[in-house]
Amino acid sequence: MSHLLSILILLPVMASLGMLLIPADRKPVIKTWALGASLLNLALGLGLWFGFKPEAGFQFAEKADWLPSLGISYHIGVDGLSLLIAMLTLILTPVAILASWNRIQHKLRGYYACMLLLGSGMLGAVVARDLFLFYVFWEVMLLPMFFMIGVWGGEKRVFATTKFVVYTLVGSLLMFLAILYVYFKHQALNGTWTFDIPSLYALSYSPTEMWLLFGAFFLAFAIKTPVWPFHSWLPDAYTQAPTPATFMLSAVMAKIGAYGFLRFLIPMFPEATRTAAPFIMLLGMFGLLYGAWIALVQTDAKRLIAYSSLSHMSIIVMGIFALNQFGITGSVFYFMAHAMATGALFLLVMMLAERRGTREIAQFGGIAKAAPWLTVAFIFITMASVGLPGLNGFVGEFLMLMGAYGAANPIGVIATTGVIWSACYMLWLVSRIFFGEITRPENQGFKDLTLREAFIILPLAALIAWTGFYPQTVLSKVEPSVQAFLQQTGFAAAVEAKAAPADGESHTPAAPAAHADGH
Amino acid sequence: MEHTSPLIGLVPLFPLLTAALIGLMTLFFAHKNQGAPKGLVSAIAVAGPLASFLVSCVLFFQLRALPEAERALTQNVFPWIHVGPLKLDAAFLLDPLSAMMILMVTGIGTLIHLYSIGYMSHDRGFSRYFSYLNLFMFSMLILVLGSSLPLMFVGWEGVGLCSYLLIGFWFTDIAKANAGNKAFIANRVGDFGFLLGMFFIFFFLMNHGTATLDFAGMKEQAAVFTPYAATAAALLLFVGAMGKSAQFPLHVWLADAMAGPTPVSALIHAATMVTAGVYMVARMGFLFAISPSAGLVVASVGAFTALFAAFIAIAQSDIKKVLAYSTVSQLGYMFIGVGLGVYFENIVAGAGAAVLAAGMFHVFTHAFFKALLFLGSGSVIHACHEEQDIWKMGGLKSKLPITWATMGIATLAIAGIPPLAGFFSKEAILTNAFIAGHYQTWLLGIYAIGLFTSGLTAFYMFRMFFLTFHGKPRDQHIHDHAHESPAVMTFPLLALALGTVVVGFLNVPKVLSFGFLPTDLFATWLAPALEMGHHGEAHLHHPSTSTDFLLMAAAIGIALVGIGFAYARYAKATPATEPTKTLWWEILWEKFYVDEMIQAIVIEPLLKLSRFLRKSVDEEGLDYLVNNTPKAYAGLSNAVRVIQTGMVRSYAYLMVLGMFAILLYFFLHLAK
Repeated sequence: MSHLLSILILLPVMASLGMLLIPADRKPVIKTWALGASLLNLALGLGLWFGFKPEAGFQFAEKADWLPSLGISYHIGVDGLSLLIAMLTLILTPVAILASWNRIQHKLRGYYACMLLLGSGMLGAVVARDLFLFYVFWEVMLLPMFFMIGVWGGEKRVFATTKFVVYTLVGSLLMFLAILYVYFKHQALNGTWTFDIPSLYALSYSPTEMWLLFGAFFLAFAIKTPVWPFHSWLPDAYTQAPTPATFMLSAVMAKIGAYGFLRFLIPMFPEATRTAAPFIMLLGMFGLLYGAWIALVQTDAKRLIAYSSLSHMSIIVMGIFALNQFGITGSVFYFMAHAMATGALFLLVMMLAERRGTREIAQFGGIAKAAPWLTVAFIFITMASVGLPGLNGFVGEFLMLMGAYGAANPIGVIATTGVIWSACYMLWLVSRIFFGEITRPENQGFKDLTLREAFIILPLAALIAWTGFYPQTVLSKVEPSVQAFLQQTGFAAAVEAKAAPADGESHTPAAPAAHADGH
Repeated sequence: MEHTSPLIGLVPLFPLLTAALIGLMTLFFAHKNQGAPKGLVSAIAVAGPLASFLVSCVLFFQLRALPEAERALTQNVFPWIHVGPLKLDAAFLLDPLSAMMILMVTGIGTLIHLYSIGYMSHDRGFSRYFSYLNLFMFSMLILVLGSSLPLMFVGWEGVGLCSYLLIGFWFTDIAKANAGNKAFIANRVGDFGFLLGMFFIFFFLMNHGTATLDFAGMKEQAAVFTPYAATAAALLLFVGAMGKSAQFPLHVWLADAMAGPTPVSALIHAATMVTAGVYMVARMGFLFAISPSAGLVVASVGAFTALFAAFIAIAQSDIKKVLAYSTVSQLGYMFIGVGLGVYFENIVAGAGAAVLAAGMFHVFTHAFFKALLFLGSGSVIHACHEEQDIWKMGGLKSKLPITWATMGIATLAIAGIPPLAGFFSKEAILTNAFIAGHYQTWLLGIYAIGLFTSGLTAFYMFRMFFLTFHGKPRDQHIHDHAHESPAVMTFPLLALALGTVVVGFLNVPKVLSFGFLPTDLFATWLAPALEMGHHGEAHLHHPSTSTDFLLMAAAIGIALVGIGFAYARYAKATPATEPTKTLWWEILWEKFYVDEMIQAIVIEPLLKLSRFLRKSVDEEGLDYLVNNTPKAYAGLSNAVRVIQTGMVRSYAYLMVLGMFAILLYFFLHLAK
């Protein structure tokens, strides 16, 4: 049994403890230590990516009793649904640390410890195979974020972090109740106490039980993702958090909310899902338009990206609840694509803001002339964000919109207008910041990307280009797990019934399954 | 029998490599605050499309060596997106249609790259320009060679990106940058239709046949489509074509696109990219042909746009705006051509391919003379130190003899004067429209519009030509400093002029063969690619030879009338300003106020809605609720507090307490 996953979770914890031994005034040492630890973790994590076998279901599994009398175990493993988020955590942590380099000037040890612990919490949450363990990690990842916003955030950081924590806590405590209810229910039905996730899938409930539990789980994940109208913590938290934290929040933590739908909500309550899915898709569609349209009239660049993030996360929600292989595969793929593009946009806006001390769009203008590299980087990421084919955003968007169209035509049609709105708000942002003459004296001699900044954007840009050019790198690892997910939750039937006549050569009833599994 | 060729991928690969190389050089030298060496950049920039052109020629002969029915070469490079039944590969299809397109794109592209070396020689963004232009070549070749709709879409949006970058090339001018935005966004409106078209076809085939978006696969299953489904799919795709090919009302971006450097207008916004919509309709002809109405919609939109844009062109004073609207108008003709092609196929199976070929022939000839017109205008603008107003020119003939002669040929060609290329291609479309009247009388209306528009075309083109080159100079200073362009610019002009003279003979109608000219070469070449599932001879009603000659006489006659009017009004006695300005002139000058209408009907309401959502719904609605929930709660419990960090703790305590209470309840309830 490989202990790779445990090592990946524990290494940052150890590193953050080790950091306490470094004197607080040795700032470069602290930063280097944190960066080194995160890079080491990433290097180890590559073993996860390259060792992952697409068809093999859960891998790198580890299981140990924790509180056996209560049926709680330390059980972790990774499959195609969680692999990407796990990799994102590992890849983006060093990026975030590098982005914090000059931004964070005080209480460095605390900050970098938070950053490392955040990674552990998020990784733990996505690989947990035990519901109790998941909940522990789910709450653990909230704490570092709470401190990062509250201590190192902007002017209204206290308000923002309180709102963020209370809001998400309301959701997750309700979910905790629901978890316990399910736990007791399983015992009542089967006579054993267990938090093992697959054992808790699709228990039989009375309608009232089912809908209350569904509601509690849904609310927790809907707040985290966020799904409209549970998003109002987002603009404040995203804008007030120090940007590297915003980066982790939007790039990874939001995805864990969406991942929660896939891992817990849908398989635990497939029946309720079937009924509720069209309505949730509607929420997604609405959130997509709502976020995009509000982004159109933002005057603060960071807030604009925050609303665009809401808009993109809404497409993910829509794709997931399309409940077909296109929508779900697209959403899982888009976890990564959105993390890179929106994450990079937040970082680029931070770089702009650091130079001028403001994020007000009107304060810029004509920057392209002074800072060509920065401009190229921004336009490149913009194109990824608006889903230009050839970059990875397109692959996800295409599949999600296709899935939505296949599940509910009108929703798919309206959602596809999103390709117009995203172009509008992003291109208007680009031209207001970068084009035209430099009109403000403060923008004369605007500094171009530094080498450190280039190293922050470059890996993201390279991954965006590669996974857009050759998305099979990722899709081939994701798709079998999505198929398995659809089989196991019973949503594959509808898709296959449609796909069955597709196989021109074979007319046997067994054909659809074979068709779905391999190609 | 399927044939493959490993060479196809090289065609888009070369410009991609050169684009990347020049791009890196640009960034590298930008870092050192200087320009990349121009000689090296020029050499690399021309090498890319030239290499592609040479490979295209080799491929053309490979293709021609195959028996006619088997003329299709494929290359599957790598799997791209495989999800369940969706199997998209990075794969290329070279058939007579795409072969013709790549020859045209790389051939004219090479000439325009060459020309650009001269045109852009004093520009600070010299190398940046060429990296974009090479990237455009790559995207355009992917668009043409892609073997499935989604891969075509990659090129489709790729050319949109390059168009955006090149329109806003001089980005310090915010108006130019915003013209780039406008182009990208208008194209996105079209792409919305393209995407939906793909979704529709995919799911329709998934439910009724084999799910695929490959051209070959879709064509094989054409019989699966019901007329209703084919109409829906075809019209959705056509929305995409309307965006890319600037058809009303999505034409608004093309005139603004003239903000880019003039060679860009020649290559992207005249010769190649904007014809992508026509190419797509021809490529998907088998689908359009199943629908009884799609072809008619395409032809009608084309006819309307042709006339509409020709009217606008009459009143413009910017030389490039005149040409831009003439492009919109000529694109309208192309859509009449391909629209009638699929319409004929629908009513007389097997008859459509030749008609479709006529539409594509206009794409082909137009690429030559319109590229020439734009490059010529570039030469004029260059000579006049960036002046674009034809009312400030005049009498340039003696100063720019080569430009005058070559542009004159192109102007005659677009006016439809034989034996130049434009005559043959436009005549074929008009004849087809006339024949269509035999099947549905109202289609004679399209013929009438086409005929009338060709008179207008002759008028406004010669208005531009006379005002630029003839009469007395209206701005002596500009005239004194005007000079002919260097050889690197005049050579492409001459090459394209030669093309404008000869390519028309590639598709000589039978009636004009005079016993020795080979006829219908172009249509015969395209036939295997364009035939829409029905082999065999066409049995279209065909007018008598004398009618044919009458039709030609009518077209030539009306063109001569147009030229005559232009001569009388603008050349004979050179006016200093527009001779008469009326209300009608004002409306044409303002382009029928379409931009203003879009602003008032679409953009303003959208922004109003967005501000409402932002302020009233988001900030004062949802957020207000959330922010005040704790306050209300605090009020209830008599612990009035504003939001503070303390809240988190007290809430957590309360919640944990409550949780334990519920826990106890579960335990007692469920343990029973």
